[in-house]
Amino acid sequence: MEIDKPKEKIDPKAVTAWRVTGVVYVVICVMAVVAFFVVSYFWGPFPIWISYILSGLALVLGFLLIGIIPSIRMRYWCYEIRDQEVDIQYGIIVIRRSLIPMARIQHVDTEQGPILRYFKLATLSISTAGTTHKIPALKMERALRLRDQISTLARMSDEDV
Amino acid sequence: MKMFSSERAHPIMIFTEFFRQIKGFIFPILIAFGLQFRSDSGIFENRYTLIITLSFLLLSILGGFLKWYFFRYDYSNGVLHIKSGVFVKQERFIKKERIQTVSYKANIFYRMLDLVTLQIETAGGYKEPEIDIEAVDRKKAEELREVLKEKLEKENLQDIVGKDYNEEDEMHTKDFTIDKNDAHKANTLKVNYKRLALAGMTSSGIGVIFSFIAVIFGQGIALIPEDMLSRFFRVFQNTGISVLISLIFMGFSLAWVISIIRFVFSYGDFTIEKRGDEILIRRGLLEQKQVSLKIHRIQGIRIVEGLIRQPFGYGSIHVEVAGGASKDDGFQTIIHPLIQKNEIPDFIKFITPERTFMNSFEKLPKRSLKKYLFRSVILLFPLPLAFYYIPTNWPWLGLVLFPISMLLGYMRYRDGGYRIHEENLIFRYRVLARTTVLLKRKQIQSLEMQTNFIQKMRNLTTPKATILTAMKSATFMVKDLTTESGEELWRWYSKKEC
Repeated sequence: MEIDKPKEKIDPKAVTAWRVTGVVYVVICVMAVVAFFVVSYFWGPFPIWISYILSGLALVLGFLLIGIIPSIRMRYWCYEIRDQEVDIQYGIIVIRRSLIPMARIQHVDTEQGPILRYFKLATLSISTAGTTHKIPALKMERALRLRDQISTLARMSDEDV
Repeated sequence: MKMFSSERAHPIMIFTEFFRQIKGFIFPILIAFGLQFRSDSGIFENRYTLIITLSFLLLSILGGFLKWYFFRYDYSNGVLHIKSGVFVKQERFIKKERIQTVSYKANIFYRMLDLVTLQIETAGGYKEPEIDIEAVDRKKAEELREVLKEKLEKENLQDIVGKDYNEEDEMHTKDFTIDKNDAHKANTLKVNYKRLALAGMTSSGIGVIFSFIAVIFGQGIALIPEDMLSRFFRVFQNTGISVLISLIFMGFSLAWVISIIRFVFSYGDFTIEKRGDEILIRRGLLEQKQVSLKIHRIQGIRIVEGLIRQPFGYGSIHVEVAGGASKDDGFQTIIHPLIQKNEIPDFIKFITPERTFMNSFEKLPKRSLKKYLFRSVILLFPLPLAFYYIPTNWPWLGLVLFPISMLLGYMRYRDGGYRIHEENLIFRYRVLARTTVLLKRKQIQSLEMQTNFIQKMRNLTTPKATILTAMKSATFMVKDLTTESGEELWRWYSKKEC
């Protein structure tokens, strides 16, 4: 018998947010490659073909980070919050599925960087005494609601520690 | 309420502090002497060496004295107050409620004078969670411990476990004295010296000692006069590898003997005693240590059967304890230094009756063997290449490692497994030593199933269970179980009805 996948998906806007993050990374990479190219061209400490390889790599990286990974990542990300536990599944090449009992949860936070803030998204971070689990890019209100929900549920199941 | 007025430690503390300081200085001094030898003048001929050495000694004595002079502690109204520091005065107020464990330690001088060092560990706070009160009279230490623990017992049990506090346990604690009491004999387990010597012989500490000897030897070469050294190397060149091998062999034997002695000294008189909710571990021949653990704070038990020990049917037992456990000597908390295979179930029952040790496991499927073998050799592939390009006399050396790694990979495959028994989960895996971990469902912080795409094709998965330990957390896993096993584990851990 197969175990069902967690039911809920994260917000579709996450794909856009991840793409923007990808753009930021790629811009940084391109800048580094250009700098390297300029240095090798004028002062020549390294042969020029290294620069070509690096630009090729940057291109591939950009293609992956902006074009491919966000949508696949989105497709695999799912989670479910039940009365007794939080169930999370994610990953592209390596699929990770985690189960966190409510009774083990110590605190729940929401976090949000500038990009997520622009898209009105937030990351929910769930900590037990030994581990931290994150559900990225939820709708802001949803994240806050889940945070409260989890902390209430966690408190309720405290008695069986 | 009991009070302890402001007190100084026993003056013997100056002496031990002196020794501790000397320990820190010993290498610089030795190096200074070494340089002297090298320059072919007598040891104390150079005035500077003499002055430096003497000033080191004087500073150490003075340091010891000042540390003793300025160290004071007192206890009143549930607050332990410790004053220390020569130039930078430090005062610490520790509320009784914050104290997690109280343990003892006694070096050889203290033992002669019936003194102990009280080690107090507080909950949380990464900044110096451990406080040592040096050279306290044993009786006073015992009293202080009792006072500090009175509340500790109740609060800890009620707040942390929420379990009913047992009056009987309290009684037990009260009438306990540090002297070996016959009444507790039934709850006491000792490990004899034959066993300890055996443990030392098979201890993995031997590798560390061997490298230490190698370093000393390397340093020692600097002390040998140059002409002798060159003569030695000429001999070495002629006889070739055999001298090197015999040297290594000698170093190894020496390491072995030291390892045995060290083990016997640090684990000598190993006694484990169970009192109510707590186990007390005493060990050490010259320096005696006593650690107490609350049974409910044990998060996991590991049975480690080393490569050398396993064929003889021996292993050691370690516990993972939440919160501050003593991390002395870099050893984890060992609750049995060398146990025979058939003694394990009884011993586990003795420590915590609610845990069970099982010796039969749900094994790995045949199809994961390929993955285990692959993993064992994948890192070795650059080796033949390296040996091909680097000219050596032993090009085959790169290939020798392959069958050894494959064998290890096979052993890892053969030993891997898991077992679910009621609330217990037992993982067995091997890195080098075969390790069996006993976990309880309620103590597993989270469970993760990790499946990469190859595993997905073959219907395999890697379960990972994380528990709380003294060093925050530890994750245990068995690689490449069947998906069905993974699901069984998942269902066992999950509370969702399905």
